[in-house]
Amino acid sequence: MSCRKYQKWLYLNRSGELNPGQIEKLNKHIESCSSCRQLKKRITQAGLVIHSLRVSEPVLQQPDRIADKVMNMIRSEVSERKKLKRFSPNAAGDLITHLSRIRFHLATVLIFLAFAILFEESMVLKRIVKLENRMTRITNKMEAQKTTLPKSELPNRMILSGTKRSVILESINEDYIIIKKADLDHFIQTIAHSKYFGNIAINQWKRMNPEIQIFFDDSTLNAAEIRQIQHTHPGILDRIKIL
Amino acid sequence: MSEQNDNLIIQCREGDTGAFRKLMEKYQTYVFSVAFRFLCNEEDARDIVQETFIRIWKHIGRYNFQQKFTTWLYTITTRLCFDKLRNRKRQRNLKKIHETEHPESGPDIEKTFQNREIAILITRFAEELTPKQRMVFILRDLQDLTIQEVSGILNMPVHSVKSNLYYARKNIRTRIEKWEKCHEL
Repeated sequence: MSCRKYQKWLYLNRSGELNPGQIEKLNKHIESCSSCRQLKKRITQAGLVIHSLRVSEPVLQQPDRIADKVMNMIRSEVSERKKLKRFSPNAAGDLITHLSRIRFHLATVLIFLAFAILFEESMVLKRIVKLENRMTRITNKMEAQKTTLPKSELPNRMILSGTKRSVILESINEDYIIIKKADLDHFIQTIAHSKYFGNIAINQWKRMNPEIQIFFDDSTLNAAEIRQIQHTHPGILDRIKIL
Repeated sequence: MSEQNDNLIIQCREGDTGAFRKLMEKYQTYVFSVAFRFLCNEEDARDIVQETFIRIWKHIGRYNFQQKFTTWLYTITTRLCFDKLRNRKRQRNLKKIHETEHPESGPDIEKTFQNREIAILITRFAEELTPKQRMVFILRDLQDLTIQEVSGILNMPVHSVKSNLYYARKNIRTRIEKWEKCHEL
């Protein structure tokens, strides 16, 4: 064991601070270690000063004055309590006295409760309005889809272009998907990580046109790039066919 | 002794102010001693004595007879001392006692000097300690309480008490040595 541990023990060597095992180990170590012996001496010397501080107790001057002051405060409190009792002729009187004391607190609690109820109601109303708006939006959307996208006019080709954050559907009236070469990486990532476009938009589109296949524009890809995609994203082949 | 205390406390609970005065006379010097050693200021320590006993009177119904009365007393005292120190720091008027405090005049001038000497030494040696280290040192080394008692009063695990004590003693030893060197020169 290092000296550091023993040095800590040397500082904690007053009765009851170390267990007998620790004391024995410490004593053995001190016998063989001169620096720890030296430290023990210095701690003992400092201990003498601390001892003198322990022995010289601070003196409370005029203790009666403090006692009198405290007793006066206590007595006045006790007599006030007694007065309250004396003035209330019966239990009903006591109750009234207590009620008058706590009526302020009761009023505070009631005001707080009223505010809490009002707040809660306004929150519920807000939620209902939100839900209604949402329902209206969904209904409008469904109706618009029914009218603008009849099955005969469903899209059969997509041209995709990309931004830094997402792949955007530009046109949906062709037989296959054309991906701009510059956006390819991002498109692959999007589909590979099952983000919005990969999972939802393409699947929905395919559901509407089960016979449709999604292609990349062969003019934008060379054979090495296609191999690279197949190698880095094998799962993508389930979703996309590359010409 | 504890049986006598218990009787006094039971009487206090029944509203006996005489019994409370006896209890106060018995223990006010202990409270003063801890408060003075911690705050190093006589006026503040007297305030602590007053506040401690008023608090004891108010909450005597909450006293648990399983616990030692002195432990409860010291717990209240130490909490008030910590609060006082915090307030003092807030007010930014923590003055070095040996620079600012002047002995009061009056018949107890010797006692005042004795207190002043103690305050100067404690301030000098324990100046750099954190409030916790300082309180642990005062309760263990100056009030001579056991580690377990200190742990109960400060609501601190025994190992934390020992750790605080170690750092306090180490720091104080260094300061004592420096002080002794200065005196030799």
